[in-house]
Amino acid sequence: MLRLLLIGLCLCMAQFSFGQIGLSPDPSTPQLADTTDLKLSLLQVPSAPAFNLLGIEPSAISTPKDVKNFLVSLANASQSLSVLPNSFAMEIAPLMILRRDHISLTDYLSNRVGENIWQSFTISLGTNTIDSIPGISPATSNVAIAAKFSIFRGRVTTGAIDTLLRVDSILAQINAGTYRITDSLIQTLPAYQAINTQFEALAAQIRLNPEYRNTTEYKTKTAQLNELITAFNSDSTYRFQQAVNSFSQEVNQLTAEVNGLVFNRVGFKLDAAFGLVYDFPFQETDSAALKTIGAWLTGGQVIKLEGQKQRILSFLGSARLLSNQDQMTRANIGDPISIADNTNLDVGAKIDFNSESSLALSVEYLQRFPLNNDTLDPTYRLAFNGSYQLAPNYQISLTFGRNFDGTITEGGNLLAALHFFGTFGGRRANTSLNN
Amino acid sequence: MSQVVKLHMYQLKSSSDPVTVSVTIGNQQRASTDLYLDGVKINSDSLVDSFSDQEIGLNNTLSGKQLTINTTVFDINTNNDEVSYRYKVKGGEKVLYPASSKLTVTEGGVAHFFIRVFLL
Repeated sequence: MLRLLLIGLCLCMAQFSFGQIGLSPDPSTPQLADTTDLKLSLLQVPSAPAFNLLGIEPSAISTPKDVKNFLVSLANASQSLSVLPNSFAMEIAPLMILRRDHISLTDYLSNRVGENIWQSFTISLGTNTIDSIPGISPATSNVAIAAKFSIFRGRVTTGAIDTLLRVDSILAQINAGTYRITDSLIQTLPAYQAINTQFEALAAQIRLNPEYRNTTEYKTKTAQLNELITAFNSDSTYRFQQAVNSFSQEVNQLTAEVNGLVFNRVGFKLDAAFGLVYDFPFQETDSAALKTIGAWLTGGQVIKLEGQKQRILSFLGSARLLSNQDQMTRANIGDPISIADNTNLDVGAKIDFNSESSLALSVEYLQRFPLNNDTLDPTYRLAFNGSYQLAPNYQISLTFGRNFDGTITEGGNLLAALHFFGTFGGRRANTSLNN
Repeated sequence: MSQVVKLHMYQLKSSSDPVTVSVTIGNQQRASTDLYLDGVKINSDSLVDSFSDQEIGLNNTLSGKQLTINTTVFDINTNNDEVSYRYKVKGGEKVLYPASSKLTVTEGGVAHFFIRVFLL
């Protein structure tokens, strides 16, 4: 075993890539599902399941933030909906687009199931085209659509909540001050004084006789009052920027409080995703056929370890159902290759450690159970991932282990990859709203 | 300009039904709101972010009073500098529910909303 590890380490692929993350194979090359698709972690619901099902990691993903941008992206990619795009990747959070104006920070940070599902619900769309291989296969377009959401997101760490409480305290002081200043300034405006006088007169009449509300005079005077109010509201000079500017010191305090604030979540998490891929051989809609359908469920406990530095320990369990249609299969080496529909259930667990001191370690195990093909044996995947952040923008990572047996090969491919990631640009310290 | 000042008139009913105030803060920004009746703060602790149906009194006790909804919103969301603010007063003759006010503030800045409602 030790010898195998050493050989694997010697053969490991070293990649130095700048700004590119991912180890997916060339999407233009036909691939055998799950045998050559080397992922750093299978035990997570993929961030964009449609691309995962297609086996691609697109370098440019359109992420429209409003309805207009979504329609423009779609129209551009499909030549105004007249053709199927050759290569297209889009991820949208439809409910976040439509209801962003209704989501307060409290809602955003909550762990209520309803909020979790609709806020985290994203749809990913992807297409790619596989070139024809003369005499073997025609040019084929693949179209994938998938959705994912969180059922439980965990609760925000107490450190972040404490910061928010300090923000609330400062904000309450500013709010009391802005009220005082605006209230005193507004009283000096003749337009406001006229409104106030009219209002006080009407109120005095009602106090004397509540039935005054039913008189014609009341209706006339309230209409006049409404006209004065409408004129006041439409005059943009009645704004008191000094009410805000007077608190620049407190605003600076707020900015300092949230500098570097990250809303990490701990506790129980549960994510789900599902999606499907359709093939379009000859790039014709009439020949469309379902190629792959998949569903993921990942859950587990995320624990923040005690100490000054932030250290997160996660225990995750996962189940993945993946059905591949018309997949090349053979029971044993030497047997003829046949075409079969293979449905697999992958079940596994992962332990993950992340430290603020830039060290991340994880080990994961997945057992694969072929559900509908007796000729295939259960197989497993075992992988160790480690990474260390050398500097704010530089990270080295190592993956080592054994992959699943393929559907036409056995023996478990060796997983080995050494990566160095670097990005240009400085580090920006600010608040992160990432889940 | 990161301040909004709005005035409204609101007609009450001749009943003892409660009158309530709701405020919606969008774009995942942080906000603090205080409610005043004739210049007296009626909420003991400042109301954080969005809230619904905060009772300010009964129809037959509020006539002739001035309600002020005073909110300061802090741009805590680094993904955008937009502030969305909407308020609702209900329980009287009709529901007062104007369209959202949308402001763009400087990064890490604040927006102030001063809404005064004349209760008749």
